[in-house]
Amino acid sequence: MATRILFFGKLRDTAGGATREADLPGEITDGAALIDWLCADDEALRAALAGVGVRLSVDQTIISVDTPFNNPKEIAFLPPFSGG
Amino acid sequence: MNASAPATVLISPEPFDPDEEMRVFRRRYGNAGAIASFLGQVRGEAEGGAVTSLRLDHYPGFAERMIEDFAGRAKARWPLIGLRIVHRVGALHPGDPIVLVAAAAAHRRAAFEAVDFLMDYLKTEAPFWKQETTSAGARWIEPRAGDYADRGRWREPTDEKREQ
Repeated sequence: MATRILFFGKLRDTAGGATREADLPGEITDGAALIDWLCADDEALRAALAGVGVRLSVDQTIISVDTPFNNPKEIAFLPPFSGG
Repeated sequence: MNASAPATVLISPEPFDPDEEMRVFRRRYGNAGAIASFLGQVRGEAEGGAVTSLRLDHYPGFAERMIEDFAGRAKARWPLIGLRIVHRVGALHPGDPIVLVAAAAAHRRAAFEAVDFLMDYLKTEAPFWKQETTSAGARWIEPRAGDYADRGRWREPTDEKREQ
């Protein structure tokens, strides 16, 4: 099943869009592997995703990049928040 | 709170009227001894010059859930009678209201502190992003170190576990 990958804030600009649909290969089971896969040909995006304060959420729960996930529906990359 | 109570949290793509919000809040909590509120507006001047517009993005669903969570924590921490949190998203202009937080309690300290707490969390822990446009161009706003320090004032023993 396709996974929706969301890029918010300034990451949307770097990724060239807010949303991507992807069929994740089976070996993509955590954020670190996902970032490697997404950024294989995009060093600018890799640098942006490694930026200070960027957080990862999987199905709307914030997790660390080495926490395994299983069949996620929605993964989001969240730069530092600036609400209020 | 009864079934006809307005929702505690509203994230709105439409402008809101803070005076009307406060009228409704006061009517609803007319017996509270204390009401404190904070209103955040789009600033007119930034480091890059005069602000022409502000774009506010959020993570739909997730942002609502996070704010409901902060509201629940505020209610657990202070003896509040009522809370209201309104946050704009979309395209805004200088002077437009961005965020209103109002708290009603029996006494002022609880109301002041709950509003202060909620604003610090809204600034640093809720999935919103601001892009400010001035004559110098557009830039994404990030929290200042002071915003994180402000939020750190409210740490609870359980936070360490929550943040891992």
